[in-house]
Amino acid sequence: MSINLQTTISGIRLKNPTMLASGVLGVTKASLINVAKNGGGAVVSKSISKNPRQGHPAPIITTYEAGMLNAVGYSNPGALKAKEEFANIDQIGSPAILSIIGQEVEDFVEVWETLKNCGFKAIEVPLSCPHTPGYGTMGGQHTPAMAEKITRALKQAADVPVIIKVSPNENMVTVARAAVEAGADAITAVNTMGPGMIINIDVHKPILGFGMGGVSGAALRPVAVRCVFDLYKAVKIPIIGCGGVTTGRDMIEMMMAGAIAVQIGTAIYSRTVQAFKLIVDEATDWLNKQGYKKITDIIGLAHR
Amino acid sequence: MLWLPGVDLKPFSVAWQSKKQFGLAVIKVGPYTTELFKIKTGERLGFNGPYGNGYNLQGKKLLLIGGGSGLASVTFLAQAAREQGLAVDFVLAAKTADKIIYQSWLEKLGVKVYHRFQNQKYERAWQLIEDLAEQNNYDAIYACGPELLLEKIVDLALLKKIFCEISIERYMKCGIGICGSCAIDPLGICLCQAGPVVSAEFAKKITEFGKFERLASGEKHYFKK
Ligand SMILES: Cc1cc2nc3c(=O)[nH]c(=O)nc-3n(C[C@H](O)[C@H](O)[C@H](O)COP(=O)(O)OP(=O)(O)OC[C@H]3O[C@@H](n4cnc5c(N)ncnc54)[C@H](O)[C@@H]3O)c2cc1C
Ligand SMILES: Cc1cc2nc3c(=O)[nH]c(=O)nc-3n(C[C@H](O)[C@H](O)[C@H](O)COP(=O)(O)O)c2cc1C
Ligand code: FES
Repeated sequence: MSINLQTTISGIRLKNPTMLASGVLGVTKASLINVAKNGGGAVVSKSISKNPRQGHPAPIITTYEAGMLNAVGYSNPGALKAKEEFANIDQIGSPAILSIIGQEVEDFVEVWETLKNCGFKAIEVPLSCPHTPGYGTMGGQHTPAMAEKITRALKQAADVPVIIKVSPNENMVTVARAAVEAGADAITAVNTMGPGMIINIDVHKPILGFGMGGVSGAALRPVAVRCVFDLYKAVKIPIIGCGGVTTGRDMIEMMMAGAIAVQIGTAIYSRTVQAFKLIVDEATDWLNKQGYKKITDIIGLAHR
Repeated sequence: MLWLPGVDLKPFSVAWQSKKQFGLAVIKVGPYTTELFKIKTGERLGFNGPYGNGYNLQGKKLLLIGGGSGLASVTFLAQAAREQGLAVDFVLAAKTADKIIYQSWLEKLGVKVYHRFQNQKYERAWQLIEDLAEQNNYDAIYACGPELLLEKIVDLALLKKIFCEISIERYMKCGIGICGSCAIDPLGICLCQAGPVVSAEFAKKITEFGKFERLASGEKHYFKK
């Protein structure tokens, strides 16, 4: 029996609920195409700022028994070069979403103005990176006031849906509510948690070049599931679940908590870029066995 | 990849190994390598990896070409080839005479070494390679060095139908296929895993090969022809 895997986020149709999380691969258009080819229902670009950024010194990523720690530092070629890189991004086989970062409210709008003709179907705004000075939580952006200002400015400037990406911090629900007030179309929950630190005891120094970094992968999953569960009760707009989704069962769990789609990042480390197809196949198997006809039937099931 | 705690982590090839040790061959080109040249005996560094794939030895008579920072990946291969008793001709390409390293080490292994200095350009090394390929019946060619030279070597090998593998350098930050900084056009796969060693046939599928690479920010940097 074939299962209907389609899901829709604010009018954007996905052939299946898996999406590439921002910042993993996603630097080039070709790598986004590769993810789409491997089954990604939608892809999110690396976060793009007004000016080019080199990012933090390496190591920018380290893995441990429960997941991954990263402090990439938002390296990106800047809006003008990104406009060349991502030209005709609407022709890659899956809808592409532009992740925008900035320090001032105007920066977000400027990046969108520069890239608006590339063909991105939506904007995602991480207010929530825990390890880059001037941005996200370190830039004081993960507050209801900033969420409202940035969302409002982008809603005025852009005619595509605006997705606000929140951090798993305590104030998550109030930030999300403020974004909804200002017109946000969806919430991505969550960005990495922490920041955390791993010290190499042989050289007695933190491993990451930036010292600390955001925690993702398996360690984050139960936290992310709880965040999606809380948001599902608190807001009426679609929620995209993100954090540690590695198997089909993880995707189903996230959707039962209330997610309309899931983003996948760290799982690419253990399962390669084939993660998308594998996760979809595993979920399909499970749905088949349980007798479901469409994947959207399980959204929010844990609340009923 | 080599970690200088508190400084950075950068990709380097293992140049040789023995039962208890391994060595690197590093060219000083910028801030990281400058710091690396200052380290003293007893200081602790980290080594992540090895990541990606290596060369596949094939045939009995081999031509190896190593230029600049690409030298190390081929000296390692020379060592492996000599341990199997294969005949190895080695072209050492360097900018100036004082940059010729590893010559006596290679000769001790029984490798026949040719060298050329090239003052930024690779023409002289290329001439030598062409001559050698003309005069000898090589079963395989392996190379790592300036990309425009690699491009010519690949074309030569394909024309002469000689098995050929090259190692391509791209900006690498993680080595584990996550950060995406080493993704190559148009395949979109990461060279830290799919490479750095690729076959001549595969190199031809990389449209950016010989044209541009991406820098730390992801911005394209075009090679000067
Ligand atoms: C697979 C691979 C194997 C390598 N093996 C060796 C080796 O055995 N010996 C050796 O001397 N060099 C090797 N290199 C090159 C070496 O990594 C760079 O020379 C070094 O990172 C330069 O750092 P820097 O700060 O001194 O110079 P910079 O001023 O930062 O850069 C000088 C040059 O090195 C390149 N570079 C800088 N950082 C990186 C990076 N993270 N990844 C790739 N290229 C970079 C720059 O694009 C530039 O062309 C290798 C590179 C790769 C990709
Ligand atoms: C290496 C790496 C880089 C990331 N870069 C970004 C980024 O640029 N923008 C962003 O919004 N999130 C970024 N993230 C966070 C992810 O998009 C995602 O929210 C988080 O990793 C949790 O999902 P996961 O457990 O599936 O990886 C990054 C995560 C990792 C591991
Ligand atoms: S170096 Fe990070 S993906 Fe290859």
